[in-house]
Amino acid sequence: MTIEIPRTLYTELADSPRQRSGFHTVCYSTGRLSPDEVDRIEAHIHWPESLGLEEKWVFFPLEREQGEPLHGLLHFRALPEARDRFGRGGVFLCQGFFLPRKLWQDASLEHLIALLSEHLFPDREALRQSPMIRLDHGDIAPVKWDGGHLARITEARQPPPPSPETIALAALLFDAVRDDGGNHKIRLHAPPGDVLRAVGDALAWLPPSSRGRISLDPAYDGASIALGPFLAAGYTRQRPHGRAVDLESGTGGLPPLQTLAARAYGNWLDFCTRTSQTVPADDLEHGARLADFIGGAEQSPTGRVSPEFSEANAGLIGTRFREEASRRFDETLATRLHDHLPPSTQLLLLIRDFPMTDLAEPLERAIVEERIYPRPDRSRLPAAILAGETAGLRFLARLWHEGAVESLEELPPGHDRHRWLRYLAGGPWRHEPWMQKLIRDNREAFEAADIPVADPSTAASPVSRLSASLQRWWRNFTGRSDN
Amino acid sequence: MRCPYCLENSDPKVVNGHNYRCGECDEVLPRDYVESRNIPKGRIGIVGFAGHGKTCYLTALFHALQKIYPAQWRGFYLACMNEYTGLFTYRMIPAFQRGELPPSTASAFPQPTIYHLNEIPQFGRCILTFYDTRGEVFEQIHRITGAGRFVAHADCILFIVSLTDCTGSHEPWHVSMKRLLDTYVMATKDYLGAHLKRQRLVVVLTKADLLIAHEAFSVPETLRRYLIEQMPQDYGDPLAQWRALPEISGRIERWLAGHGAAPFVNMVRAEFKSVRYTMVSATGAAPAGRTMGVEIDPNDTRRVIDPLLCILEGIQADHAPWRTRMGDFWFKFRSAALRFAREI
Repeated sequence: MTIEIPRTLYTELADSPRQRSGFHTVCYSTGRLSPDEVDRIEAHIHWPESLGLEEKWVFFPLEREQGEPLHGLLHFRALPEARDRFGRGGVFLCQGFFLPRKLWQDASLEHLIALLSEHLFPDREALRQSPMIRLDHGDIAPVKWDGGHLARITEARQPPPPSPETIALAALLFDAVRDDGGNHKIRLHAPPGDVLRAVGDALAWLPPSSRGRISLDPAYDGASIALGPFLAAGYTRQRPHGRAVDLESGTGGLPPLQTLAARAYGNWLDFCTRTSQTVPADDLEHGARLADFIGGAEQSPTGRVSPEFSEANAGLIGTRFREEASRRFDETLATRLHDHLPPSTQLLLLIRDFPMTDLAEPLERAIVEERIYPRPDRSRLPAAILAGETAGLRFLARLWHEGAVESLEELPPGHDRHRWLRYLAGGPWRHEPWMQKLIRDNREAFEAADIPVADPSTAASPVSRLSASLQRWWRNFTGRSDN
Repeated sequence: MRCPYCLENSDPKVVNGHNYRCGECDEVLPRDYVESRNIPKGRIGIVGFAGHGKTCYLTALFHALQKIYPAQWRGFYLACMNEYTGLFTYRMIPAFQRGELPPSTASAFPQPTIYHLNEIPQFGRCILTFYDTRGEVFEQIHRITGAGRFVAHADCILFIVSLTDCTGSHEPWHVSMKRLLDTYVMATKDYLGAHLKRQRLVVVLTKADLLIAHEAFSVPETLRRYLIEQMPQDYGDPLAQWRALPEISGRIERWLAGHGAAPFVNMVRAEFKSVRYTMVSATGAAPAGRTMGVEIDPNDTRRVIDPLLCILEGIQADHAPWRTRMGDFWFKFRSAALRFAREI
């Protein structure tokens, strides 16, 4: 398989085929890039002459109206001896390579840069000599990579375990990608090489979909990131403000994450690293989808729920679960359900939008074990219970609505009868005549369930107790017994 | 308040009790910029082709303001209001003084240079924000719309043209000027939605030492004298210079109109709130390659303060209390009425 990588060359050239003065795109792969795309590429060009750099790499996504999206890598090289037509210094050569987005997502930045470096021109003279360039037409042939090249850049995809700084930066980039409208771009304070290395390491821990939206200029001194097209930019001399990361000081001064999704994603990576579990590269996208879901994305993720993800994000999942459950049941029941269910089940129920088939069993268990009883206002009885998906819920629905159990035969079938007896004995109906009768009739069964069965007279209400006392007095007075 | 960094209108947020940040982009805002609402502020966009001397002019202006005028203008000083301005002031200006010309600007999204100018005679204080972008941006409409958002929000545009550099191109110099103006007007008015009638234009003819020496331009003697004879020290009383600006501007305008640039002259009059013409020489002589060969003496520069005075003139008019404006209106009305009476 061979792929073609379109190129651009941007510099100041006196005899430019484009008949233009100053810096401009002298030539580009004309059949593969449109003039409009070339203009958009030029907006990413910034060369901070005052830093005295020899070279730098920048990268950014290039969306297209037609054809698959690309990801551009620009290499800048200072030409310190060159002068422009006004005799000024600051001349540089900027060479662009535009990879298919899929290749960018699968490749490691380090390998890509190493391979692309083999295609760089050292200076402006080399452009004129190259058979790849038809300078009079302003055209440059694309780079062609075969299977061998592709294997080189995609091999060793599983990166070494990330450091806490790398995880923090990955979460920050994940956050910035999801906070498009917020102008929460990331400023990194460090020399350009360190910025590129740090972001390159963090990229390996981002899901491919996010990796395809990251743009970085590691040396942006003198330019405004707020107005410019980059999501992240490095500053060497200027100390950036706002959402700034000082790479030399570690994670201490990291700006807070703006989205819940990024917090969930960062927690997951952090948990996996702390518990020495590797995160396979293929799992990153699924983890990102779960994180987005926790963050409020409407589309539910498919596939399994990783136990590490739910454990790392127990707090966030719990909050979301309580919110959603409160909307469906009442608040007390939602809280009890939350306390009763493990985070992985909560996440699963959230993802599946609380299906009654899955929910009936845990709901029934939560009600019975957490001793949830109907409120005086019966209109607020959860619809889920009224629907009665299981025998247990059907029994609860009848109990909550009609409130009378004639015999223990009515209890839901199953071997865990004691659970139901304890539930019945603790309910608000324990002083009702029907309950008293049930206890009287099944004294042994209640005692076997560790429920102390008091004399019905002591368990009864004050009125019934008074009535029982009067009856006893009358029997003694008349000398008659019930029998 | 419009943030000088992201150009969004937002309320600044207070961090740590005394530190202001933009509510949109989170950049640190200078305290005086936020708190001193009574200090007039001006946003200055710089428009011009590559190599026509935009950065060089700015560097020369602030070089002169630092080196000459604090001694001449009582109480005057420049204060940098952000870190980038500090870098510009303490790295680029000393390099310029050593005779090194600024390298070509390679940023389409420049950091603003923000200065607090204190105690300017006859004017007082003001905060000026300059946006110096690369000249290639102004070649085509879509580039201005993509990278030139700041020009849409500028109160004043410094329209930098080096006529001698226009002569090298395939079109006459006045066509190059008009092309730049057309591109700018179309981009800002039609694509960026700017109101040009709210913008003041200052046309700055740079490299004027070369211009007056160029026979093809046949610069009138009065303008030659205006450029050569006026020394930077003569700005000790800027009021006198200020009063002379309209006349000099008119002479340059007439000279340009008489040499083929009438379409340009008429268009800027019609499109902008006001227009002034100036000519400057930022170094006093043409460079030999990247360096001047010798140290640049600010006394060798010519008329670099004039565009600043034009900017201040505009800011003063915009920030004048309504009584002053009414007074100006009455004065203009009365003059027009008297002229009309004399004619009949």
